Amino acid sequence: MTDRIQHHGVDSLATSARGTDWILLSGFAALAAVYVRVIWFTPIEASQGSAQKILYVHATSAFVALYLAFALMAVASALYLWLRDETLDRVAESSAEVGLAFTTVVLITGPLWGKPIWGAWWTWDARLTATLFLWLLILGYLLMRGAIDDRAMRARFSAVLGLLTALLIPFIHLTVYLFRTMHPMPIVLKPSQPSMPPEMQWTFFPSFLALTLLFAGLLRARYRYATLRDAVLDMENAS
Amino acid sequence: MTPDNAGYYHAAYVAAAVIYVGYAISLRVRLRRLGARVSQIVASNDQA
Repeated sequence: MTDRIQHHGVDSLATSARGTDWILLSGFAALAAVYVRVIWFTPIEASQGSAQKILYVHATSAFVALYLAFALMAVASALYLWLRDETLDRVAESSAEVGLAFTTVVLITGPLWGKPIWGAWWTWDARLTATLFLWLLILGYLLMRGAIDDRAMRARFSAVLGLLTALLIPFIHLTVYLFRTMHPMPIVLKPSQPSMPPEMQWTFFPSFLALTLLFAGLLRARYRYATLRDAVLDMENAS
Repeated sequence: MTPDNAGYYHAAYVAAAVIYVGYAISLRVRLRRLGARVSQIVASNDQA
């Protein structure tokens, strides 16, 4: 009887996972609208040319990765170590993987902006190197999760690694102040007003909101996947 | 004079779209595979 109830719950979870994900679709629709705004309705900056428009996908993806995805991973990891609730482990895991996708965009669009402006695809300065290091650590975090079968041990190790990795977030933010770097100083996340003309702000902030919505959609889908995967494993172990 | 570097900007936006859409598709595929696995388990248990 208990098995039947459990199977019914997992089956309905699987059915709902196959349905249309409106949050994710809204995120992509918002991103498409931002693309239209960037391409046709945002002015070209005089000194950098069209390449400056990379800002609207590069910096906003970085904001979402660092200050939403990896911050959430850190909070969920800390709470897991305290409460030992598997839900928190799944949130941390999902947030880390979605954050990795956003950081990948940052690491690809950055060199595409750097080449025409700095004359180099890459420099080993503090901001770029620390971001690459963070990407590698998150990749290692996800690979480590795949290598440990025991669920409680995997969650505990992941939570510790997730928390330690998140220490890089404030460091990455401060690198442009602490080190001599080619990366520009913050133009939005700083104590004073954003140093950006209003017509550029009208593209930048909607872009951030669109990517935040996309992050929410991807996180929800990834969390559903993790929940269903664990439920399937439980069913397989029970039968 | 404003430099002509639109190619880099286009490449960046195409790369971002490919990564975000590709990741969403990979999640969809993984969810579908799990859904199929659930149906298989439920069917085999119902038969038993």
